[in-house]
Amino acid sequence: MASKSASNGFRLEVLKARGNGVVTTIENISANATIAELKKQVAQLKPKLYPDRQSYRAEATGKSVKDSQKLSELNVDKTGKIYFKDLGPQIGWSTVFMAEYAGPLVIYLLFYIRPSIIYGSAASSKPIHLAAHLGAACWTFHYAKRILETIFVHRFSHATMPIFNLFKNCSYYWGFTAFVSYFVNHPKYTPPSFGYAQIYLGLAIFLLSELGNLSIHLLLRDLRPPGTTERRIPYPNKTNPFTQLFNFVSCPNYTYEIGSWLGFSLMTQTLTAFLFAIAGAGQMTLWALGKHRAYKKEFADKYPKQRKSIIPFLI
Amino acid sequence: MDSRKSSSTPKQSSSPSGLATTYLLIYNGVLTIGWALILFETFKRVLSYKSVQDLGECYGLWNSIEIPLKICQTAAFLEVFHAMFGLVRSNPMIVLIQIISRVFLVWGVANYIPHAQHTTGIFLAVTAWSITEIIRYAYYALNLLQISPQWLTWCRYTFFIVLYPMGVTGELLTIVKAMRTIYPELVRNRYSILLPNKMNFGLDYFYFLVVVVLAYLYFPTMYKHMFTQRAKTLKTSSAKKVQ
Repeated sequence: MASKSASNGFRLEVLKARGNGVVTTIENISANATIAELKKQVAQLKPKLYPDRQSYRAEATGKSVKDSQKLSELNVDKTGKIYFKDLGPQIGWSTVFMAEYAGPLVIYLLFYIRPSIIYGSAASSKPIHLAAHLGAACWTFHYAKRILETIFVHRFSHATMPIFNLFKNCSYYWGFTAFVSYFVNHPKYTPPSFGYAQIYLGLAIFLLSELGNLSIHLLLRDLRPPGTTERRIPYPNKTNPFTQLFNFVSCPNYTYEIGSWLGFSLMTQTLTAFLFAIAGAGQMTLWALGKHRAYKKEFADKYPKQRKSIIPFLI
Repeated sequence: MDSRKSSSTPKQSSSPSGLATTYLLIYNGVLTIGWALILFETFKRVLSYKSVQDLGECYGLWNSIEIPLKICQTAAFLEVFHAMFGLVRSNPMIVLIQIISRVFLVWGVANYIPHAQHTTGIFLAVTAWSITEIIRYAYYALNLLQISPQWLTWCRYTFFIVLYPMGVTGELLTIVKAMRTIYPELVRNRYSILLPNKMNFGLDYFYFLVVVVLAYLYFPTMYKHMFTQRAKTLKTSSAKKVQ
């Protein structure tokens, strides 16, 4: 059992949350130590389990605890036991995003140059329609913007994610890129039914949506004063009209992203681009609903009541 | 084929309303009879064959079961809604995925490419499906009336050992027959979506079927999963019997 020595230290058994087994035992750890410190100590004893891989719970089937919590707060100093879950090999968020976004950038352009291996040798000499040129430009712009945002704008709360996500996400992004790009760049591409009016309207919607999305990202970045863990409700600011969408939805960045892809689909009149827009919209709606719920839970009555999660007035 | 075994005997029966129960009873009852009919017609036809050659081609089999098969298999989509609205304790996504694979075989392979109807694969697949479904729907129906016998549970969690591989074999044979039929370019174009068109979408149905075949790589994993479920369920049931 646990024995308290004069320095508030105790013996801690780190047990597997699933199945039986001891991961390791720490002979003497202070009850005031935090989970973060525990992680460091366990990593020293078991080098393969670097801190980002470790997840702890006070009960075998409980929720995982935060790094900032002290062992005494969780009563672990009384029981002498804590439960461990291996999150598997981890990879940094920035690495993930780079792989996810660099892929589409490269793959789309691979089709754009009309390689004979895909389209046959006669393809590269056939004319390319304006819509296909603009498609390549927009696609490239979108993913270049994302890469730059990952480097310069976004601030991530978790340092890592499981490596399986990398495989899953890349399959999605790279796969859909090929699926869209193949048809827009095809030698038998048919331009939009309403001609240049449709192309330029789609382009305008795309560009405005990209601008809107960037505006929201910048606002969110500036929302938290650096060095604090303060959480605040995002509101429209006076300088950027795109931020007015916050009056209607919790996640206007997602709303704008849907706009981008609908604009792209209109501009290229390509079914697979539209499918990509729908798939993205579906996933982002799920994320937005979660985020919206979290905001309402955290801020309760202070949170603006007329806001929906992603589509104004609807959902 | 069928791993919709997530709900066996609920520990705390959150029984659906009287109306829901009646509806489910009718649904499950009708489908039990429907699949029994399909199984009966299938064997009636197959037993009329005079040679191994006939069995290889299975002429007339599809025609004799086509209508009840289409009705029963397509009606199964309702089960996605049953799961979504909590009438049945199953994961709607899993239900959907299983139904899609069977419905695709009926509408997207056999119905779409008529030559694919002439293969033993149809016989194997439909036999496996119908026996599985008769047991499954009867099980659900009797469960609603709380008179489901132990041996039926045993059947449900045991027959799959033979039926699941048999069904998959039948499905693959049918798909391969379809692929061989549409391989030549002239035939292929009839079944494919060709470029150019206004939506800028093309689909080579032969390669589409290649992708479908690749999806069957999931079979060993699903098969193993069903064994795990069997171990969990049958152990629990026999433990209950001791009381």
